[in-house]
Amino acid sequence: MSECALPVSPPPASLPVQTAPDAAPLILRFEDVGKAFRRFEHKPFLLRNLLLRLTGRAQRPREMWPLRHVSFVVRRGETVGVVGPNGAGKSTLLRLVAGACYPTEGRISVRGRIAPLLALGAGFQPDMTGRECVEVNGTALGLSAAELRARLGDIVAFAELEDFLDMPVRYYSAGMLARLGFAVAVHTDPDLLLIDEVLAVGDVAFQHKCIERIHQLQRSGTTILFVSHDAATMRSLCDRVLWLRDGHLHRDGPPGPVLDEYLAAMG
Amino acid sequence: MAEANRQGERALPNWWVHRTPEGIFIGPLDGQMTPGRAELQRDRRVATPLEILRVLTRADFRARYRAQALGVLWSLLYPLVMMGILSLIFARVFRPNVVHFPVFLLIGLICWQWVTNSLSAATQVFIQHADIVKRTVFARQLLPISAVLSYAINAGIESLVLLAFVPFFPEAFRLSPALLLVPALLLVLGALLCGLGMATSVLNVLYRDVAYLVSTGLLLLHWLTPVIYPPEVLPEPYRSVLRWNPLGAILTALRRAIMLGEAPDLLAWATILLPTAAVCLVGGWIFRHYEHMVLDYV
Repeated sequence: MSECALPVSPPPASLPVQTAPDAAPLILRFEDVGKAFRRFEHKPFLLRNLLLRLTGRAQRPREMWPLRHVSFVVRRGETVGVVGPNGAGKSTLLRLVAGACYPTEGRISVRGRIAPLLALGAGFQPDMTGRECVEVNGTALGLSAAELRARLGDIVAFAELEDFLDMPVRYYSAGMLARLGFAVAVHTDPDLLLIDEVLAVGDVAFQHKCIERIHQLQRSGTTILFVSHDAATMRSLCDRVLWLRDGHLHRDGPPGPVLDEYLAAMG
Repeated sequence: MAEANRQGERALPNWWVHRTPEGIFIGPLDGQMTPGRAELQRDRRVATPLEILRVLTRADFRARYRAQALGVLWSLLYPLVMMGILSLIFARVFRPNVVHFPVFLLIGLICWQWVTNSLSAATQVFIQHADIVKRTVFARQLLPISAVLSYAINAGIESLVLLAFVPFFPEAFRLSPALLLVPALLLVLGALLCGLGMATSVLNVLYRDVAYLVSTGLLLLHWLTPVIYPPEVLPEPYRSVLRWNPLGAILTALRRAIMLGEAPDLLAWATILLPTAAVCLVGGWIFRHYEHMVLDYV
């Protein structure tokens, strides 16, 4: 979304955050955020249901809240891990931060450029070449034409795909797609990088390269929000861990104690 | 590492982007002034809509003809073959009262190709680009618009065929100031297609039936629009009603400007601009209204 074209809102009445003078600025803020999906067994768009709705006899669609009443803040430069069992709302949380869907309740506030690494390797159309995929994704993530030209070499070198750049991605292997997706996202100079269990793809060498790149981004002050089931990686990368349970924020604290408690609870 | 240093020095923007159920808003930082528009526009963290449009359109156009030997030549073939067949049939069977019927037909067929192709593509655009839509934030209106634009490239190439016909039908083309109106009329046609495409693209995510509705509707519209017949053949009550079909009005104005050197009169402009404005307003409203649902369902 081009931010220039957006309406400017009046200043909010009350802000629940008091900033300590020495603390890094906030980059992400969730205020009582909830996201509802209609349950799919309802099939709200079938003709029969449409007719029932018009005659006022339809039941209200059942709603599912993968995330509700979640409030937290992230400061610039932090690396925050998100843990929780399947279905706890981790991916929904990242999608909300990425702006790929709107909250149903509450307010999400972000500053700066966000690069999401969600469902890696997707986002590409089979008939486009590697180069076109980099262009489309990089531009959609906010890179201008000049920035894109300057970075294309770095991106392709990082993905190790120099020889395949002008080949349609339908001929790429899953690993090649994953590498390209990761390379684009980490080269967009994000202020906030979102990572959703993507380090499980690629071979060991590429995984090491990814971790190395994440460390480098951390050192340069990039904020990272990171979903993983791998407690060891999380301990080594994160400053803080959020534990989601049934769509609620269960714990928010330093990685050691929170992860110990989480692993104990999961058995 | 040099890049990392540069990045570390860069300041965050001086405003929040708030995402709420009501939409996206820019807000001031705590205890600061609301950012001005000039400040917002200096921020280089977002690509401009034009840059996004350019990249999307080019990638879409090039991907379409990949793995084809003849590529874009296929889009030349269709209007030529149609023109040949229809000229023969009409000239022999119906004897239309139109001078330079092949040129008349070709103008209609090129425009109609643009209409059908770009509307079918725009209708599918969210499903086709579902992955990008789900992962990134940009003005998603640009997706249907880029579908319309990438078929505008085809229409441009097909227009070269029209130019090739100038030596064969020298009297069918009138060099006149009215030719300057042709780009303006094509721009209006493009706006009309964008308005329609914005509506069908979001609705097709919620109801996949819309794609079938669009192809059936286009078939119907083909016969309600004077593409292969002149509007004069219609009997009177229908003719006055159908002239408010903006597609037909634009086509007629284009033909008059190219073949007769006549600019549209006031009524003709009204029949072109008023329905187009209405379609764009309604299409834009539908898009805004359903966009957030699309993100959940795509």
